[in-house]
Amino acid sequence: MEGGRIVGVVYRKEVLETLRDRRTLIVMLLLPLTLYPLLAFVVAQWVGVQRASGTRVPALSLGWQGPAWGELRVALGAPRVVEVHDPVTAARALRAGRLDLVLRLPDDLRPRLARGATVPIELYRDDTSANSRAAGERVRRLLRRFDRQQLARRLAARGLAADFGAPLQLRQHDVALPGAAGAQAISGVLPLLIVLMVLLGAFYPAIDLTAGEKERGTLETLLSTPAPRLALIGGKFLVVATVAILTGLANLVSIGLTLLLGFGPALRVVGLGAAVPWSAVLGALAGLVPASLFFAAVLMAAAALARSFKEAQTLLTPVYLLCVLPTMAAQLPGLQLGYGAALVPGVNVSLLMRGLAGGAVAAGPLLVALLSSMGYAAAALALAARIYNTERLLFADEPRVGVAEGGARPSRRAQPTPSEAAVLLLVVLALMLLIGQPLQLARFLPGVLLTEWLLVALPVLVFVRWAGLAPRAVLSWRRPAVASVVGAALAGGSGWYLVAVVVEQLQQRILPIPPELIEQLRRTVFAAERPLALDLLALALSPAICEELLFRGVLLRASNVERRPWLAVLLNGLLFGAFHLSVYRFLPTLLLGLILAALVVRSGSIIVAMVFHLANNAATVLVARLVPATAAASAAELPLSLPHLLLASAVFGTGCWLALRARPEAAPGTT
Amino acid sequence: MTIVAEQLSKRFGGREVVSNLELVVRPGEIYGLIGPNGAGKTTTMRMLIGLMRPSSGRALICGADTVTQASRAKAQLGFVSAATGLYERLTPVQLLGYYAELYGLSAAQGRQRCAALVAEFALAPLLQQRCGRLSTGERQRVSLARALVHDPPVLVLDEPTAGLDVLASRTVADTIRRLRDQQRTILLSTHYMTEAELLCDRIGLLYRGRLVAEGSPAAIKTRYDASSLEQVFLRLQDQALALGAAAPAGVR
Ligand SMILES: Nc1ncnc2c1ncn2[C@@H]1O[C@H](COP(=O)(O)OP(=O)(O)OP(=O)(O)O)[C@@H](O)[C@H]1O
Ligand SMILES: [Mg+2]
Repeated sequence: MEGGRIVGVVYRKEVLETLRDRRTLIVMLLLPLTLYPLLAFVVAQWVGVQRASGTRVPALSLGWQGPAWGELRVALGAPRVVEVHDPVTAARALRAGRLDLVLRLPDDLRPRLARGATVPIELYRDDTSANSRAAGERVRRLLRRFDRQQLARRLAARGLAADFGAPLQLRQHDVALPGAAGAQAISGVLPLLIVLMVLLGAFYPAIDLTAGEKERGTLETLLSTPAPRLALIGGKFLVVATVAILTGLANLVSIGLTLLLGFGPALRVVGLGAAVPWSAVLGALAGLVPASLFFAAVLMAAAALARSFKEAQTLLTPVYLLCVLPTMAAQLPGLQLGYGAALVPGVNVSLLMRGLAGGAVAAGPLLVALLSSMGYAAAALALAARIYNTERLLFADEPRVGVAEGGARPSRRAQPTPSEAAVLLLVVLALMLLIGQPLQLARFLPGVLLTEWLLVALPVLVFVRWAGLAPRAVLSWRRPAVASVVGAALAGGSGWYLVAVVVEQLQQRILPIPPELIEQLRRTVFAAERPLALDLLALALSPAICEELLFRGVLLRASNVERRPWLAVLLNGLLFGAFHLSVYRFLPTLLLGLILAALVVRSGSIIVAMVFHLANNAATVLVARLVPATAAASAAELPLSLPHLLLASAVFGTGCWLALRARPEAAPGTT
Repeated sequence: MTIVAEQLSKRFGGREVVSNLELVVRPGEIYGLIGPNGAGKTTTMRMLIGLMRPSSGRALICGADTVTQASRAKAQLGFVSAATGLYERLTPVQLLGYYAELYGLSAAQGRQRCAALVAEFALAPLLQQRCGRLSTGERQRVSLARALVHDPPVLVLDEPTAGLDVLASRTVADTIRRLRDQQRTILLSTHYMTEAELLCDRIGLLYRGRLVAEGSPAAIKTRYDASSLEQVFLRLQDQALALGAAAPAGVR
């Protein structure tokens, strides 16, 4: 049939065009593929930090009334103690937050204990203060321990066994599979998440294919062909629905991969393990198609009303929220897919997903929900087709896009746009999280090599090519002054010592690296069994080239470095610090990034940054190798010797001066 | 007769924008609609190509009514306007291929037409580019080729040279003449009087939805005793003002 053929023709063309739309691709693939690994990663890191800081006891300011008996103080972790003389002052100090807790002990504490009597202890706290609550928790725990010790002592004195005081001993066993709790939590939010993502995925194509076509002035010519309008709308609708379905799929796949590949285990290590909630994934998968069809049709009908892209965005935002509402409602506990709910648009598809995840949906309501959501989709589509027949909405204004926007063909650009650069960074991050990290976990050194060259450098080069950029200008690829290179080598080679003794001391104050991590680093990164040359290749030369291409090449140039160089340098340092995906490495890598960016800004050549980076990393590797006792990871333990510090500072200073002094002959990249 | 309007009228709300228009464009001629902004040129053309329903009267393309036999009528014509956009993310060939399919050409026919149009409009250097990167003149060439993909006997061009530089508009004008020489019927509108004078076989002067003068450029000039069409145009406006009519619609 003619209509069916046209639907196919429109579908093929719109798919091609949509796949070439960066915005759609970002929402459809890039966002899901980065979002979940990144989330999992951040959570794992955060929990790790919490753990590490949890083992460190924060200072407790304790008010004390009564004899400050040493044994009890030690049992309480030897807190700072302030004498408080009466309950009124105590309460005031607590409420003002000057004290976390106040303990009141009887004066005859020791004799009472010695005689085997009970000692009343009064504990004052302020439950509106989180500090006070936490301190109370801890002090109660410590007092309980002290209590047990005293009991044990008394039992022993009477010749009784230590377990005399414990008639019962309770041992608990949780038989839930590892990660089941996480899986449970994930399957609860999965339908909502998928609906949100489906809507997000359909948002831009729905606008682009309707209002966008009006705005660009292609709709008129499209409608001047003999193709039936309903067929045109039908083809477009199927494309929007396809994008919605693919977005949902990409999200499900990414969640699954995140849990399966790297971060399930990573999360489990920190006690947050999540198994893949297979039934929820299957449920979401089954509900995905009806949900996508329904929401795509609603968004298209709304977007068809608009005459321009902007107007459509304004119009669709409330529609988006309206679509989210029923989905939220479907999250209410106890709500199930019955015949009534199956007729409510939006609610039915979400309940369908939830029900299928639980594995218990009656066939009747299921069928009704499917049919009714299809019915609503068809009604929305019919509405869209009617709108396409309304002259008022079709031709009410005539933007002359073709005239206003013409102009000469752009020549090869020297500067990528910030959004292009952001896309590149996200792609590299996604590749690193999904492929690089697991690779490095499996085989460290080959993993690092592959990551640097295939997941960092290659995407950068492909990007430069694809975005039609002038490679030399974008990457600041110019021959540097000899003085800059020498300076960079000197500064890079000596900088590590300053970092080790100054920055890492500081780091140890602010955010101490957990000893397990240092141990792990020592074992994998600085393993002495490997040939040194290989270590230098993977850990010094490769990062120096690949990471520089990305950060001091594309990203630096994209951040408007000509106009606001220092802001660009700052941003570059922050990104570089964040890119290393470890809170413990943030500070040193931030500093390194700042210096490297400044070097490129001043010298105009990325090669200077590469030399610095190489010298810096090589020095770290060499020191770790040649002085194994002070493997760089624990460089904080290096003796802080003044002569060494002075020497390093002098070399570093000279190097920086040499490297930064040389000015580029012309502004970089503006050719 | 390839383009015919019979008592064609269009009202928006209560306002009549085109009134009882009688128009005939003969096979193989270039007919130019001229008139001030808001005279109703675009509205007339939209009715003639079946994008808008006439409020009354009817329009025929090669004998097919644009409302009751819309798909037959539409298959006979190609349409380009100054506001016509291109699909920015497609290459010219992909664009031509898409329209060939929409017009129901077979794959082989489509390829053949595309090749012919690429040669005719000198599109070969642009083939690897996406349309979004083309200049205004290049876009207009692609648009014209697109309108010809199904080899229609009738072309409707709404201000085809608006926004083009001298060279590009000359190219477009040459193209239009060449299309006429291929025995196509062409209806166009323009605001450039010299262009209308040089290019059109006949001209219709549209004024507030009515055809106030019609004929070859030379005949019109003689009738109004003017040395150029521009003079005719201005004189007509003055006349309308003198007759006590309010300022012409669209003159603000
Ligand atoms: N869809 C519409 N709804 C309401 N009024 C309209 C619509 N389209 C056109 N008009 C009105 O009809 C009148 C004629 O417009 P039209 O675009 O046909 O003029 P035109 O001769 O093409 O003008 P121009 O030279 O500026 O292109 C104008 O006053 C315009 O405001
Ligand atoms: Mg017009």
